[in-house]
Amino acid sequence: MAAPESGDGNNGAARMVTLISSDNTRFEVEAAAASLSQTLQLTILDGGGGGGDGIPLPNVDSATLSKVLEYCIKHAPAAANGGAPNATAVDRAELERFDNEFVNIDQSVLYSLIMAAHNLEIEGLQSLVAKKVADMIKGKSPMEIRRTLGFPDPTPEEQAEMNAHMLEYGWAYE
Amino acid sequence: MAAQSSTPDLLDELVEDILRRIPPHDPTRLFRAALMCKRWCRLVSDPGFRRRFRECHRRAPELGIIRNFHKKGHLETIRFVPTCSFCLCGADADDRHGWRAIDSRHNRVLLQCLPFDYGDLDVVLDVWDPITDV
Repeated sequence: MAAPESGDGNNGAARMVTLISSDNTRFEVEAAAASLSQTLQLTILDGGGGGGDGIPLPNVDSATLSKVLEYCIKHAPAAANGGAPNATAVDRAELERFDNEFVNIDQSVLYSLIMAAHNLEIEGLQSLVAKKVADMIKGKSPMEIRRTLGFPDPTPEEQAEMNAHMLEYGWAYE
Repeated sequence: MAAQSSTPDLLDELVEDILRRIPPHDPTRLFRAALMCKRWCRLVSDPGFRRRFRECHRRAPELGIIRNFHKKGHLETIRFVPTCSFCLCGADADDRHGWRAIDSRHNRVLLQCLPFDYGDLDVVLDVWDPITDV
């Protein structure tokens, strides 16, 4: 929480930067939050994104960017404290609760988020979404996994292959 | 065609990141994910992925444990006790009378043959791969 004097790359406590989504929506956000993105951090350190200029993000639409920024804003204070070694258990529990609710969303949004996190190099977000998707397939058969992850029904060729596997590894299909 | 069979058009790198989050004590999940489509199967089968999976979890997926089993009046034997829903292919894989497991590493088990006559000092060892039962 005591962010102002904490750090490098953070000069000018409440410095704001503007991010522009692929559909031309402008988002104004604290530099500290945007700097959770390794990609943006470099631009921001170079003085970009301030004033009338914005940083264009041609690969991220506004719906996704808004979600990404929600994550960054929530995680920025802890990140500014260098991974929050002195964060209280309450703070950590609160972040965990936020994370759990944050990824409780439709699978297609999760995919957009993980791609954005990858493009923007936000490690924590990428890892959070990847873990969520891995959890979503827990205890499911291969067919159920396909449906959960939004794959189309298998082509006849794929189905034949799955049937052959089913004969060999019946237990995995139970 | 390829795009159609993998709607969630994630980069291999991201699919791998997802697969790597599967906990090593639940290899069945990894296996089922691999059976789901060819691309994921290719990614899981890649030696690079297996190496990174081990690095990430600091251990390989755990399929089960080998236990020396001794019932009074019977020869000692070894059993494979699965710790997940994984099954060994060979039905007799869990039944090796007269052998005892003395070590295990790199997916192989070092077995020692138990002599019928304890005066016999010859040590007979064997290496067993429980996955392929060879």
